[in-house]
Amino acid sequence: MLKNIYNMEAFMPGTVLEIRVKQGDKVKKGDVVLILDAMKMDNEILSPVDGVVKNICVEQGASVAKDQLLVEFAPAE
Amino acid sequence: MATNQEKREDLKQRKSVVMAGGGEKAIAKQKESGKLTARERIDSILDPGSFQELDLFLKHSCRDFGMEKKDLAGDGVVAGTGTVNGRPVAIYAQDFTVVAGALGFMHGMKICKVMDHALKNKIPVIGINDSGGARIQEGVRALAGYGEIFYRNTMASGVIPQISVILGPCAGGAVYSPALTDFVFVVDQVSKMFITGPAVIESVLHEKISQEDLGGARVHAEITGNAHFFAESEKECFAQIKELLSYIPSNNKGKAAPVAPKLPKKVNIADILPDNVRKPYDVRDVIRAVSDDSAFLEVQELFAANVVVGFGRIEGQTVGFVANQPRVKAGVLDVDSSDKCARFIRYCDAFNIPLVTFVDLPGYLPGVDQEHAGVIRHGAKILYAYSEATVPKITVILRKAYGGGYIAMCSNHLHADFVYAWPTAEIAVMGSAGAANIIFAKDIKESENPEQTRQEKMQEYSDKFANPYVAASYGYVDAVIDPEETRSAVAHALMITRDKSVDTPCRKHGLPPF
Repeated sequence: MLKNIYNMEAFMPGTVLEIRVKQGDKVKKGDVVLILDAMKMDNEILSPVDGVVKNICVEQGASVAKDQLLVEFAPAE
Repeated sequence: MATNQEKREDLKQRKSVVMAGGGEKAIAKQKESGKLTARERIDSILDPGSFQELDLFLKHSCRDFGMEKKDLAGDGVVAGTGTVNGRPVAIYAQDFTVVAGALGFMHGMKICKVMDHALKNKIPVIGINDSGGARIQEGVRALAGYGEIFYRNTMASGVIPQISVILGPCAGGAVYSPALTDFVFVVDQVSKMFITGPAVIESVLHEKISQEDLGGARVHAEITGNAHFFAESEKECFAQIKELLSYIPSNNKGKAAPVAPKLPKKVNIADILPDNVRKPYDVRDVIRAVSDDSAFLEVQELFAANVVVGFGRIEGQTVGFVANQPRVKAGVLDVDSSDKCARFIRYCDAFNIPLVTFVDLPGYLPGVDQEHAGVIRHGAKILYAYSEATVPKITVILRKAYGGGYIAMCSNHLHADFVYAWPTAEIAVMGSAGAANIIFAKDIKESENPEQTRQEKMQEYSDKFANPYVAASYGYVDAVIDPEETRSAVAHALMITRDKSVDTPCRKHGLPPF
């Protein structure tokens, strides 16, 4: 099935170190949304789209599985 | 008897009929869909007045279904030779205004003629695709046209640069020609490529999908990797083609034409790398800090961005840059980035373009999906491509170089000509945590304070190996350099290796992992 580009998923298992957005925030494609500790790096996870943060699905400090949904975006109005 | 003057008028008249393509209505429709005509496209790429059109009066050979009564202007394709910035090229453009650019046998033969010109005269060939597919009335004759093109694409591979520009639909068997060429250019909302279109998918699988979502420009630039250059408009696309041509030679016997050297823009290269090894950075800043005029033409920018490949120049000479990108997925190698990396290395090797590799990667991406997707055979492509390459190979290890990733990224062991390392390089078989857990498993287990012991042992391992000096002590790193010396060290290596030659075993061809 076609991947929903408004869903941001974890590229690998890791730990959420920091969440840089709040629900309702406007983001541009490429903005840093959160920091994921994985592969011994503090990875900047970038917004895949221009849009609005619809739902943050994880908390700071959470361990996440690969492909787990991290943040849902919606098209900007 | 007609006079000579009348014959000249007759030629003019005949030309104007064919030059009108599919007629005003069809051209208006082409414009409405935001596309240029075949002739406008050729004119936008070639130097003004340089186009010598061939086979203007070619006619199709179909005698069925009433086709014998139809005259198709140029048989739906415009073809010929010309120059781009003074360099000869062969070019063809399918004309969607003539029976939707559908490919019949003679249309195919017309394309083959310019391809033959290109291969015989060792000049690049540019193909502009805008076609509804095979001309169904011609049956197997249309397929013969495709097959002859694919054969020539293969014969020309690695001999002359082959550029495909997708400026409309390119569906069914037709997509295999671009797939066999070196670089595929796509334009947002204009390009569509797929083997089976939405209608077939819906009838067989009952899945609904739009042409754009199935095989639009973004899909091929970001997901499939079929496209190498993505543009927002045809105009931008033509500028990209000209820029690419400036970096590459006209054939595999030559080298890219040098240009006047220019210093990179002034940046403090030593400041690019963060002090904290866990922090990412953009490796393209390192590339731009060493390349002439800080220019870098990235190839497949949007696909598998955890590795960066593209062209730049050092001291006026074209080089191919390959670099791990710590900013994306920590810079790991995986199935897609291995394919991207290996293909680019083989391109550079085929066309005598030296390779400059910047290394900073934690290794290959672990995971069931990667293993089951065949990361073994995909990852092996990088080893094969670097080992096979006989062009100058210059490597700079910036930071992490662990395990198989270290070997793969043009290490000394794959016969790199010069391996430099920054003082920040960490060259080891694995990261310190993993290594300590294995080597000192017993000490940690038997310790009164296992966690403290683990930390101590990690530190011990890291102190010993998280540097470039152990590798340098074996000669696997040729020189540890200050980051500021990077450009001059790479330029020196390029100067020394200019006439490099390597004897390779006599064989028909190798068997690279696919």
